[in-house]
Amino acid sequence: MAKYIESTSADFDATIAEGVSMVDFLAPWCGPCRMIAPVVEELAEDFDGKAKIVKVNTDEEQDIAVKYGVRSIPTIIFFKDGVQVDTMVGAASKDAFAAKINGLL
Amino acid sequence: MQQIDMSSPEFLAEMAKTKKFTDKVNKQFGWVYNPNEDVNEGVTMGLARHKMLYGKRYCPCFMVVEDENGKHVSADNRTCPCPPAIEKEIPEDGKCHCGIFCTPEYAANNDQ
Repeated sequence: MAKYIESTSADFDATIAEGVSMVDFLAPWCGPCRMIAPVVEELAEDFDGKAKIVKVNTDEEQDIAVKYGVRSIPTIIFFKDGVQVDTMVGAASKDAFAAKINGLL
Repeated sequence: MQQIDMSSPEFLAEMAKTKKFTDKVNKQFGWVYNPNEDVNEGVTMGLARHKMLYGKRYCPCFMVVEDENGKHVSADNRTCPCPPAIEKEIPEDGKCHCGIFCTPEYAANNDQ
């Protein structure tokens, strides 16, 4: 079963360096983060082998969040070959996230 | 970042205080809790955690950053109950960004 990647500052750049990545900047205490958690897990399954679904805990990895200008949580940032190409702020539907990923594949 | 033992008596006492605080906010503004109890639990934990870490109930859904003097502040001044929630989010969307505070109508329509 495909699973999302839990990334830290030690591996973040390498994780997003190639291909399409959707990065969920979250905090464990954030209501909307909890609401979209099942959706993110489903996306990891649906896009297995096509795109990377990544989670970054902003409580523990503030440097990455600050680097990409994250202020509110959840913020979802889409990368293609290491380049930030799109951002969504707040919870959204699975279809909305999937459409963004498909648009980059 | 400073770690907090979330099973400690101190944290549990702060959680109880935070629950009283959110009860009071709901009563004051005529709001209700989110029908998804997982959301309420997470946000209450986050508020209690920020109160212990920073002395203020900063919203757990916004980054806490250092200002030019090295003092911790909430991004967008999101101290609970935050002005954007009171003035815009709850009147327009039926809930605050975090989702813990809702209008009775929003809660009724989203109760599963």
